[in-house]
Amino acid sequence: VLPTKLYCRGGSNLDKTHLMLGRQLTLEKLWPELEEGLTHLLTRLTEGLSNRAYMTYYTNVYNFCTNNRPGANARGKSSGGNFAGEKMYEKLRSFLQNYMVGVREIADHRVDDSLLNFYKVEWDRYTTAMKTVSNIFEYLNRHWIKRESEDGKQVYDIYTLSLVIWRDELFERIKPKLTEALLECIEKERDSEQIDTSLVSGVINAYVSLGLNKDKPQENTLMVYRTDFEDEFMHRTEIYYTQESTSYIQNNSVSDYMKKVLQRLQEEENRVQTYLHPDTGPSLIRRCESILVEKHKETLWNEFQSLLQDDMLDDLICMYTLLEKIGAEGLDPLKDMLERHVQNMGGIAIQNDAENALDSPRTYVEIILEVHGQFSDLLVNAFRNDPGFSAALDKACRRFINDNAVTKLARSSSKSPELLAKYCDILLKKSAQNPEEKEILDVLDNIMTVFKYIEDKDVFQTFYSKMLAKRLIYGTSSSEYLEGQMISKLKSNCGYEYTTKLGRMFNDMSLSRDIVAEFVDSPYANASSVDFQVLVLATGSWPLQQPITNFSIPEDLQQCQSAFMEFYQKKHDGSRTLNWLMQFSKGELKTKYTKTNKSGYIFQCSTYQMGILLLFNEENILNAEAIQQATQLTDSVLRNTLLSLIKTRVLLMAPKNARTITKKHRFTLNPKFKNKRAKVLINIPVREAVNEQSKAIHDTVLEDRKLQIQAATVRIMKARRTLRHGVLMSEIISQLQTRFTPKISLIKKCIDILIEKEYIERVEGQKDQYAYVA
Amino acid sequence: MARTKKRKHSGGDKRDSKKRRVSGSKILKMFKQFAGEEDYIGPEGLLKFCDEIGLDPEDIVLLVISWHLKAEQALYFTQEEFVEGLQKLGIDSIKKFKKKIPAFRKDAVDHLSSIFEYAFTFSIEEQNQHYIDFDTAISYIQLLQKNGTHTNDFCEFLKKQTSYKVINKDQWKMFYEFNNTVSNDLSDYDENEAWPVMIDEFAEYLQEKYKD
Repeated sequence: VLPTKLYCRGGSNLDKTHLMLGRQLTLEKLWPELEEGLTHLLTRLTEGLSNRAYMTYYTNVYNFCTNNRPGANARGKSSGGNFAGEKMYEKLRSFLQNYMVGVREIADHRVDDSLLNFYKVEWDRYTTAMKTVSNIFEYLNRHWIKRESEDGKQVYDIYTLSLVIWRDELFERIKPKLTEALLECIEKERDSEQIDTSLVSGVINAYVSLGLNKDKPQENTLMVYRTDFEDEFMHRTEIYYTQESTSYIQNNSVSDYMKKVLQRLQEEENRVQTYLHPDTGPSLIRRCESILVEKHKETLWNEFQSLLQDDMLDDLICMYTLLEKIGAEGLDPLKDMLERHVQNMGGIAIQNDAENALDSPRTYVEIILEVHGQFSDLLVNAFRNDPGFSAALDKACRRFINDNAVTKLARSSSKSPELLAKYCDILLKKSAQNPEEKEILDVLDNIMTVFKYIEDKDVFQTFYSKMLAKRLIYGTSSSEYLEGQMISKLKSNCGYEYTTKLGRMFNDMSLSRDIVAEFVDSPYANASSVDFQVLVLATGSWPLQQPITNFSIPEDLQQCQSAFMEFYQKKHDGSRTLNWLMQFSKGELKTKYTKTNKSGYIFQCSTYQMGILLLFNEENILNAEAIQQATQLTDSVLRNTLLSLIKTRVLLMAPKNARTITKKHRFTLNPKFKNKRAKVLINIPVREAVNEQSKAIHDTVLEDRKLQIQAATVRIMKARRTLRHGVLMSEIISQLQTRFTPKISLIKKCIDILIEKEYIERVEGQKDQYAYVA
Repeated sequence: MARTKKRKHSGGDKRDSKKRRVSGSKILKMFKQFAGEEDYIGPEGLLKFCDEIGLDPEDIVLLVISWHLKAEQALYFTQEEFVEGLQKLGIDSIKKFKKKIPAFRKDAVDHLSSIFEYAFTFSIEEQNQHYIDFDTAISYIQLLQKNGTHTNDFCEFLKKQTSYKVINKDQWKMFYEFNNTVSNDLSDYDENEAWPVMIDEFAEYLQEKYKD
């Protein structure tokens, strides 16, 4: 901001100004000196104006105006004072006009940069000078001009007048050339040539300053800037970038193109900061985005697939950044492609190792976690956690996790939750490796991530409960802390009801310990000669079935059993019944018959195995029939138990290789039994049994689901009284969806059952409506 | 054959409760003619009855008469059922019975849906039984839905399929609905509607059978 008064040393012939007073004051007398001063200011601004000269001019104007005030009897407009003001204004105006003509004559001979230079220099000088001039004529500004403009006449304060004259006499005439010069500069800069940005900035500011509001000259509008510069600028921008993008994309890779676009967009931002009016910013950027990105969006979309496949992170980031700018519709095709890609990748990853994964829960889950992890990272790194992309990832994961090569091999859509639960079991069991607790916790967290995608959550829960029960019974849990942690995780995912059931199992374990301690201290304990433990479990809380076979307990064990029964019945006054689950019982047998080990082996075996082996205390050879007679085991259990004893080489069978064991097969103890360890675990599961178990569990789940569906249906119908078929179906599905996705055919079967049992009925005359039967 | 009491069901014609000129004693006499010593008309009595009226025992009219009488069990009319029923019908002689036969035939058309439903309940023999066997079902379907769109196919389906051994009331009623509303080409059948699973399976069977 330039000072409005110029003070400087040094003389000039202006010191010879005369202060005029009184009757000397006519315009003819006053003007020549004044005009000199004005010219001086306009043309030799740098030389400055002395205080004295300034004061003289100012006072002369003042005196002139005041001495020609309207007379005492003057009323209203045309009077001497007015006339004087008008004359002075006119004089000044024509002076400026003349000056402007001179400037224009020079400007007419200039083009391009030299025109710009000239314009800027002249403008700066002119406007600075005119501020001072306006101050000199301050009295005129404040009185005559003010009055006239309030009356609606077209007069301006002196500074504004100067701008009007500049505009009308100079700018309007040369503006095409001027604008063209500006635009050429800008284009040069876009072509990477250096330009004088302050020059451009200065000239553009001049445009802005010329935007005078006709009605309120003090206010600035952007009219001139817009009409005479911005419009054409936008037009040229469009042409420039349309051409550049089309040719660039033909000759370069999409990856390079995207980088170029980002660079150009940044450039334009800078341009706005450096010399354009801020107002232009948003529309300029939007226009560029439209030309550079939107018009080529299909090219970008077509490239996306290969970027995904080749995992080109930087390019993916570029593409996301660019397409995000043009709104949701720019990103939608990407979301679909990502979804399909993830689903594909997941499916292929599992398929490549399907045979393995089917049998190894760890492999299966690790494959899933890898794919999921890979794309979760991508989601964060390339797509900035965009919720739409996140949803696409979730959809894809949901699909490939629940329906893939492994589930097809198993011919069961519920294989995934089964394998997931089995992997949990592996992690929570004691193992040879003994990894860090923290490591295991991390994997468990990952498992819960996969769990969220599982559709048949109830299958997972059923398997988990069963395996937890086994871990507790067999004491194979690796850490109570981990078990507890897992329960917390399940609580937040499965709800309170499910985890309290699990909690009760833990409770029973400690209650059992207390009961056994009590038993040991009691007199009943003396009756038994064998060391034994009992786990007393509440029937309703444990997912354990009754044994599928009878069993004739060996005599030695019978004592223990009776002793405990007596103790327990006494304790509870005969109000409770104990069902012995022999199929889970196990024990240790000390042997003395082997030739290979002097001190004999200790067999860790199941109670059924014990029942069979103890028979050999009396006989050397036994056939299957005899064994069955003695043990009372059913065919399938007997077969599995004998097989396990054969596999572990404890028993020998004659004939050796037989597909099925018949009643005639003969068995002997293997005297040559050998093992590195003194204590040998012979209680190994037989494969068939394991598969049967799995199927049994799936059947349990199915039955359970039927009950759930029926319960839900009755609840809904009781509340709503009558309901249309379609609405009932969707209500049932939504009530159950956190546990499993019920199949339509299963729901319909349940509805049939409920109609037959008369819980609900069809409404007469409305074949698709049901009513609750109270 | 012991008769067991069963739940009452709705069936029979609700029209005509105004008493016509019928003689209660005549009706009773007619009853005794066929019931003999018992307090019900059994299968033998019915045969005689059909003879007198000139009806084939397999004739649908017999079923219609049972329906009017609200007979609880096939081949038996209790005294109450017979007397009350005939009073409502305004019949007190064999002659009047014979005259009514065309009207009964018309009933078989006008009230087919109700009679069809009735056929189920009156075929049930044991208390607490909620189904009828296929042979009975098929014979009634052939009788009452002779020209039905899917009649033959359904009877075939019942014989061929293995998931069901009997048919329950809902399935029975819905079959009637299906037979009378769903066209030959199954174009107006929607599996997402409230059909029982047996009907859905029947539709699948049809689709398989008539694939081309």
